[in-house]
Amino acid sequence: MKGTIAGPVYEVVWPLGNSASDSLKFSPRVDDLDGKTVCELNDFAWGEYFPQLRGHLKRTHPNIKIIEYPVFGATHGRDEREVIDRLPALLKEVGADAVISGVGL
Amino acid sequence: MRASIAAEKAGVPTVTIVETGFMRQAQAIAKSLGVGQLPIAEYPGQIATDGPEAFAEKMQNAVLPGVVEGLAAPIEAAVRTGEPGPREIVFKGTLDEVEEFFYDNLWSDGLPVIPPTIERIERFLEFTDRDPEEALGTLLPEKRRVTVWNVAVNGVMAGCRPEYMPLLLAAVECIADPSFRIEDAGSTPGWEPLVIVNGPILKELDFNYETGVMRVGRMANSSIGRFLRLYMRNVAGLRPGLTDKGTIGATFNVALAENEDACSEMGWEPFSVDSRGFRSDENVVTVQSVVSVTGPTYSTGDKALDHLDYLAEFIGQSTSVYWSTRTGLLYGKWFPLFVISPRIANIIAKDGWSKRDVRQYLYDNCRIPASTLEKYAGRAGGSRNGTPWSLREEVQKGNIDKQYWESDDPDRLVRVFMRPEWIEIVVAGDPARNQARGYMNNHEQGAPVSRAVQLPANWNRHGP
Repeated sequence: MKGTIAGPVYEVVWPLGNSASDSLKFSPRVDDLDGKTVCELNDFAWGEYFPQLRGHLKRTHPNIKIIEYPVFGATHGRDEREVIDRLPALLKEVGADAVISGVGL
Repeated sequence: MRASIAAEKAGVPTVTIVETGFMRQAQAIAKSLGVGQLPIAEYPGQIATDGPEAFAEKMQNAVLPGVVEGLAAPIEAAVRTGEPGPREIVFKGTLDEVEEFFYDNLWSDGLPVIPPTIERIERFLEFTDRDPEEALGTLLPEKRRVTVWNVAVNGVMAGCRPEYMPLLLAAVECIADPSFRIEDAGSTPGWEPLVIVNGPILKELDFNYETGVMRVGRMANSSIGRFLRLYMRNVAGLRPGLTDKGTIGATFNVALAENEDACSEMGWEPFSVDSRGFRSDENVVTVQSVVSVTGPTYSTGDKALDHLDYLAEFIGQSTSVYWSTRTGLLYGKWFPLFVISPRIANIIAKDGWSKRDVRQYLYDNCRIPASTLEKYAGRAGGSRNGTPWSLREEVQKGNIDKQYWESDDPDRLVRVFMRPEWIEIVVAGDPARNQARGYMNNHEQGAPVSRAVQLPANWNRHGP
């Protein structure tokens, strides 16, 4: 900074709080989606992009199985916490190999 | 992003689709949640403003390969760096140098801050009996710990007086309550928190509750309002362009104080008693969101209905409430706040109306055409072509009350407000003027949360 005015020196502390985040261990990745079960998640009720994406994925991966987003509920909104809380069990139940999640679209 | 993290924790690999405008936010949230680089498939631009051809082209050539690659590519873990301890000196410098250092690190709100020295912080700590290291919760999206200490640090920076500390703690406890949903404070509507203060402390700390009550100027109102936004920036981590996606946004609100003398004279209970269920001798802080403010009303007449009819029409049916009505129904709640000047409130009260009567009247009489509500609902969710949203369908699904679909007449009038008890009334402003304004909250995001203020045992000795 240019043109600072000399004056008393202040010793100041950090205004943030310490992070409470845990490190996330990532799941093994999926090299080939063919023959896999892929789940759609969507934050709003719309999700008009999923039909297009679904069509492309089925064309490029003929044996892919896609579980559509209404099965899981909207991941944002009035039921968000319940939807996310039950997600692990639901993913296990449907045998999910991968998730495609749309946010803010 | 929270859904993707939950899936990854459950052992299922994810890829998240976001538009270009959300890329920085997505990575900032991922970083704060302990992820170095969350797999993302970018939709270039914004779906809502693309035509069908551009949409199809981008889905095929950008999103599809992004999805496939995102699910296959290895992921780098977050690199953890050490963070300073609370009393650790992070910088030494002149006032100008401290300002620049804080500004460069995104720790200030762009206005000058008071340097948070240990000496100043300790003066704030004299006004609470709580341990400085006491944890009051964590705040998303950065998931940082809330402590008495960092409340004091940000109180110093915002220009608060040390004796405001009990109110600062109460305000932070409000936003740390899960029902406040601080994690959504960076949503695109760009809502701001509003602190509402009630109780004897209003006079002790010299709050303004009369002319210009919502203007900056009085230290208690201004600095406490500024503090909360600064705290959300520093401890929740809500910074514009990163985790804060308020599209246009608004500046911070000064704290709103109620004219309890006026309430008492007209036989009305203060907001903290009437709406929030506390005793009138308790000092209470309430925090709720404000996403829009109506214009000022100037109602006339010497009868309650002269004013209430005007308020119901001008505030209750204004375009400012369309957003909240639509999203309120979608999310299941919303809390409109009417700030009414003592002159109007007095006329209404003298006519024998309680605050409860006023709420019921506004609930019954604030109505808009069903077609208007459906039109705004369809446009407000970011849908590419304003996908129709139907009251009929929502009622049939059981998502909203059946009163919203009593017929298919598009001109039928439907209620703007969801429940009479969710309508809030605060008496404040110039006692000599006949004005009111509406402050509309952002549905379940920033729903009102209240806390009684805990004064230190030595308050009377230390207090002003």
